[in-house]
Amino acid sequence: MPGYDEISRCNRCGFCQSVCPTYLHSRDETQVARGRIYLTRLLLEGKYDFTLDAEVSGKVDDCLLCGACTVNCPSSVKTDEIMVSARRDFAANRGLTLFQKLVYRGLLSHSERLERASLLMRIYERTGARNVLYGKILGRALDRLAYYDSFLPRGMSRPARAQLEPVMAPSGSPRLRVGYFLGCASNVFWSQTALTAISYLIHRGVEVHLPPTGCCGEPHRTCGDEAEVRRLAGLNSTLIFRDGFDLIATDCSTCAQALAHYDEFVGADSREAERIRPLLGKVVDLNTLVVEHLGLDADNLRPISHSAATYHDSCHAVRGLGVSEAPRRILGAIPGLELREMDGADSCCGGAGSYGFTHPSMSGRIAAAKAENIAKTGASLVATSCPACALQLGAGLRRAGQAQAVAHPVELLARSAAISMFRQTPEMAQGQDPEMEP
Amino acid sequence: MTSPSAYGPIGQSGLKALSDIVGPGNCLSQPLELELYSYDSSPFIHHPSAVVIPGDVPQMCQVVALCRRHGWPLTCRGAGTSLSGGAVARRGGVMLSTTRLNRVVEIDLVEETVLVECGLVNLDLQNALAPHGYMFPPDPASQKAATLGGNIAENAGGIKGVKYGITKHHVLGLELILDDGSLVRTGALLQGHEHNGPDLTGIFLASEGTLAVVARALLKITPLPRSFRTVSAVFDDLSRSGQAVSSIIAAGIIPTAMEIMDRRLIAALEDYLHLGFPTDAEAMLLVELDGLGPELDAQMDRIRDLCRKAGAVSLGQAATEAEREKLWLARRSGNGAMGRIKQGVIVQDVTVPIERLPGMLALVQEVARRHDVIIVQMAHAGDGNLHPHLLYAPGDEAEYGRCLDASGEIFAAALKAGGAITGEHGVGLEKVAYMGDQFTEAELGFMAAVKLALDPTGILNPDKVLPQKYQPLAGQECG
Ligand code: SF4
Ligand code: SF4
Repeated sequence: MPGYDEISRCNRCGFCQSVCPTYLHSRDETQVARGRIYLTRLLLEGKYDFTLDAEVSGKVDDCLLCGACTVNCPSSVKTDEIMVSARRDFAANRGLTLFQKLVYRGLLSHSERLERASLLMRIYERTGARNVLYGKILGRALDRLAYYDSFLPRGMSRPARAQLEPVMAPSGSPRLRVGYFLGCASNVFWSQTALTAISYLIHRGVEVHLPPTGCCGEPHRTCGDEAEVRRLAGLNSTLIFRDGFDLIATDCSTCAQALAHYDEFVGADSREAERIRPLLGKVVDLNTLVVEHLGLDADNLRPISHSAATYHDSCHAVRGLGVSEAPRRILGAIPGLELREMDGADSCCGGAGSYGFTHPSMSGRIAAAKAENIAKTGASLVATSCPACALQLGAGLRRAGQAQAVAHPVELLARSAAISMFRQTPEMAQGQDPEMEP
Repeated sequence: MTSPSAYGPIGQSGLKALSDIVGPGNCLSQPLELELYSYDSSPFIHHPSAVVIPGDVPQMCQVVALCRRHGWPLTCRGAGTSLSGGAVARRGGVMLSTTRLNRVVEIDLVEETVLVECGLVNLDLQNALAPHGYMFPPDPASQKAATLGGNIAENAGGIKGVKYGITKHHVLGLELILDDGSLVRTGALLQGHEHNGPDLTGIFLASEGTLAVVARALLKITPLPRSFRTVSAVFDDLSRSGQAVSSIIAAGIIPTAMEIMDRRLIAALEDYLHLGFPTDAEAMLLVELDGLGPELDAQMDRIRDLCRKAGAVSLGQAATEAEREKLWLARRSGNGAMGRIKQGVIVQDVTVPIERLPGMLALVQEVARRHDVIIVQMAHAGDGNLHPHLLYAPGDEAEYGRCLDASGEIFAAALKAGGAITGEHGVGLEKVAYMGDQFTEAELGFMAAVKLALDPTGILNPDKVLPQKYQPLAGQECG
């Protein structure tokens, strides 16, 4: 449990109501940082026993961990961190939920299983099973299934890792050697993005290394699965924190934030933590890598097929890493593309890892509001720097019947630079996946 | 029930009736849910028996009528930011959360009015008005969260109070739910603007939910000022900053705002926002003027002069709009930032006549020393409205006791100086015991008569504002 001192810093001023997404979409005190802190306080005071009260842990699980309260709190109460440590205690005392066991430990912990599962998703997608399910068999009865289906990206291609090599050198001598941390969501759900981003880096003279890393461990951390966090971080740490890399980059801001704190992930007192601490500063998000280390190379950019884009700040980028300028500079550099800010650009999209699956009602409301803010800008494109946000934004837009495309800023930059892909596989050329042919 | 109670229990059938009105998802009664509606921003904790979050005015009316019929206490709660215990359910019963009635109903730029629902957040109203070039002048420090219903119930002031007045100066009419659930309008909300009959709007301002429930309000809006000047003056003595304020007012200058912050507050805010505040200064005075550019500069020079004469050791000026906003964000964050020093806080808001301000600031410092407690001082100085924050460690009963003693002394001193025990935070539960010191027997009797006429069964926010013997159910056992 978090320390009592940390919790009692909250003097119930209520200012968090103005930024907490779950409050703004419920107007209910049981859904705001102040309430969450108050409950935790009652737990610490022994009024409730969280090993017995499922209701308490339910309230703690309702938090998005978006961090908006923390940065806006006059007393700097770290509600997000406090919720994580409460979850750690729940998990230690009661074990994980079935969902957490199946999805986090079952799938995310083992990249090959997730990749295999993605094959099923692609079969579902390509064979038209969706239409059969919704059109003919289930009709409109299964709204819930339709909700989950909305998350599945359309036209998924094969996992990125299968299409890449462990070391990819540019032509000529490399200007930078970058360890690329390919996160599980990017690998499976955003593979075109990862491929395009990596191709762009190579085009700009970067030698890209792709060590066989697995899940960064952040999903497990947020549900309090401490042991699995250590195990995964331990595996990844030796692969990605290598002296030979000038920088360590990823297209996923969730992974980037996790890596930036990997000394804590591997166990703050461990020898590995000591070893990697001096290397943590090498972790950058992809936007920062491009803007600060490569430059925008604006002379070689040309218009893309969109004239207006808006940008959604992922929580891990804007509050976790302090990244908000770099992606906007990238979008601003693309000729003919106007950046139109949406209302509440830095407010959580409600994706929050698997929150969309565990809390469909709240997550759906937040996503709908995002979709509306996106529509108001009139942009035909939403850029964001995290695959989890991209999934959630895509699902929200699809449910709202909106057609905006979702992309990573660097993906758009690559299109604008008209670079050739690292390896033009036949499936890329044809825009489809050979594995899927009958 | 073994002990006699003045109020009826709610029970399962009562919960059913409430949830039939607002819908099951909007009626909360689980123990944990009730915990989360047991507090506001004050130290008082009392649990309601049920919480309802209605979605429209007709639902609110039905809830109020049901409470009256069954004799259930009814406490209204907006954002739950009362500093005096105004929004806690002292006698249990029904907690009516107004947060989902948060619409701007109509902005009328010709009449310069806005019709709002009671649960609209003050800052959301400002944001809706700004694109039209207007503002709603009352801007309590809690405006990010506090609702207009709450602002009206407490007659909130704010930083701009010196020049623009407080909430009561900007409310033209109210739509009220009386204790039997009927909906009535007052003031300019009545038809035929000329002959509205007696305007009863005023009695509901600062009535803290004890007379009726505010459903909607017609508010006067004010054009946004064209330009601003913001000066900060640093003093090595707290009461000197008070002298500067008195002399500015005496010189006939009416700034938009004049705010005093003491050493500890400056340090806590610096810790939060890193603005480069002088953390070794004893006091800082922020003065803001608004109006038209040229005349502002002349007035600003006068103010600098007067500050220097009062002993300011250095003077600064916000150069950009961003700098100016930072200064005010700092001031508004004062209450919350106290958590950095000690977590328990009693916030007072006594007022004194402006010429007594320097003496009062010094007296509070002296009271703190004598009672061995930390009192952080900030003040809407232009109104003579002090906000001493008395800090204690939660759980330290002895320290809390010393704070209460110190509090009592400050109340007494303010009244002796010809001031009042509350400028804007309300009486709530916190200051009921001091009402007899501020008002005469006849005045309290008059308030009691109004209360009895409007709420004969005493269901509306019981135990608040009026001392026990003036409450409608005086003498009856509490539940
Ligand atoms: S803003 Fe911070 S101090 Fe204020 S209620 Fe929220 S968590 Fe507590
Ligand atoms: S982390 Fe986000 S969802 Fe959780 S309490 Fe804070 S603002 Fe609300």
